[in-house]
Amino acid sequence: MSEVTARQTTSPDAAFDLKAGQFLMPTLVIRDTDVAELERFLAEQVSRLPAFFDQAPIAIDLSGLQDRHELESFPMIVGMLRGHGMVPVGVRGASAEQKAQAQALELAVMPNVRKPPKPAASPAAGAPEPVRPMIVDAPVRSGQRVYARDADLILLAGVGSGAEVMADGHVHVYGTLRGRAMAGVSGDIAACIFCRGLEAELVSVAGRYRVSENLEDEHVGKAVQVSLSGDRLVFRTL
Amino acid sequence: MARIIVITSGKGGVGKTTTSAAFAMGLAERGFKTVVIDFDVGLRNLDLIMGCERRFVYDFVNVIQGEANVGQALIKDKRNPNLFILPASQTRDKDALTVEGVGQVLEKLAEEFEFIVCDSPAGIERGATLAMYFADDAIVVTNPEVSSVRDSDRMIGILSSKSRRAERNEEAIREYLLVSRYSPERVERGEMLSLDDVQDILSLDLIGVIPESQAILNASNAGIPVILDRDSSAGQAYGDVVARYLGEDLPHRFLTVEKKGLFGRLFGG
Repeated sequence: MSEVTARQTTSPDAAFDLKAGQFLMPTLVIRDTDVAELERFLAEQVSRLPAFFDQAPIAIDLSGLQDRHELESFPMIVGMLRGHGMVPVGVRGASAEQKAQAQALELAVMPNVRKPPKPAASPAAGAPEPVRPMIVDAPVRSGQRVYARDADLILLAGVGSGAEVMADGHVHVYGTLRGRAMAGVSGDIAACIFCRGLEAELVSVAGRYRVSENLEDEHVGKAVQVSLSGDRLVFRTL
Repeated sequence: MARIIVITSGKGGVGKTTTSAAFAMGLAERGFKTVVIDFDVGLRNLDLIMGCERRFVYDFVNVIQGEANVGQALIKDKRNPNLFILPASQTRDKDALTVEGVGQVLEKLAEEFEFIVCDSPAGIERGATLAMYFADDAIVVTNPEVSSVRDSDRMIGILSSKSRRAERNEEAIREYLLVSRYSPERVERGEMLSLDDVQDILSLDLIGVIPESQAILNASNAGIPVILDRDSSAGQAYGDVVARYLGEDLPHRFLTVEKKGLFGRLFGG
């Protein structure tokens, strides 16, 4: 029995590991098949930031072309990207025909992250949809992690010691914050942390952090807002 | 349909096995057919607390590996005909437990018993996660001190995400908090977290508070579940726990320092 378990888990000296990784990658969104226009657009972008595009992986998003199932200029677009030093790696938002084309061009078919834009949503249609915050109503327990990507995080109960809560936007804790809280984790310096009782192990805004040892006594246990002013974390009792 | 209850904590030495033994005995005393399983393979203790350490031939691991059937491994309690014990192996390790094996044994026991009490080992590894995986209810045992409270918090988080109920999207495990080794004197002196502090941090239904008591040590040494020591505060407190679990609404006892009268002082209470 123990042998089976040993084989199932990865031993530290294994020669190979299969791990999930995240990469930030520019995506070329194609809404029109005017190749000459695209060439002009690419030449301008690359001349502005040549280092950025050199040997850079790039994805091609075809979801804006949903009425065109076949795309004669597809190989030309891929060639154009390669000509500018980029390495096209995959497509997304492709129709079945376009997927077959992608296969022929040795491009990966990537999952659709967003739904193709609704035809009704013309630019004139008005205000952009607000980004909904992520709301968690149960206590965040020790060892648990919660991350609100591209959004605010609202926690209706407390955060236990040894728990981690993170958001690209603000972090609101309507309970006692005993664990770690990080706001603006993707670098938003305007993000804040709000809590009803500050007993945090660590608070951080856009990478500037303070550990519990360095919290002022006057803020401990109080309702506090933590924000960033210049390079310093500022604590304000609410 | 049997109800499966896990007694868990994360941290060791907080009173899981004492609680498992007392709780199982309490259910049996009320006439429910109950079995208590020791999941602490390799470091078993339940047999000692139950006073059956010299009576068994086969254990939980033998059953899982098909070397014995459940009936052969179950030990009947000497004191109560409703209570059975399934002891752990001391010579194997926790890798001997498998999800399928444990599931099959529990399924078999569920045909015969009304309550299945699982005594979880400490830690958050295999033994502990398997003990809670099939649970319907969980009693999280905590001592009133910070490390125990934090470990319990971690355990509650695991309960809500890694159980079969969570995986199948069924109704969540009912979780109860049991605070053991509570000493009102030491709380008053500020040496221990108060009940309010513990509840504030864990925010869980309180099923009972077991006072620190010499009776627990005596009972363990004698191999008698402390709930049978009806004169002791700890025994009575466990009695209340069982009653509350079965739906009775009782006030919590033994939470304040008892002022000893003159006679008490003279004769040591």
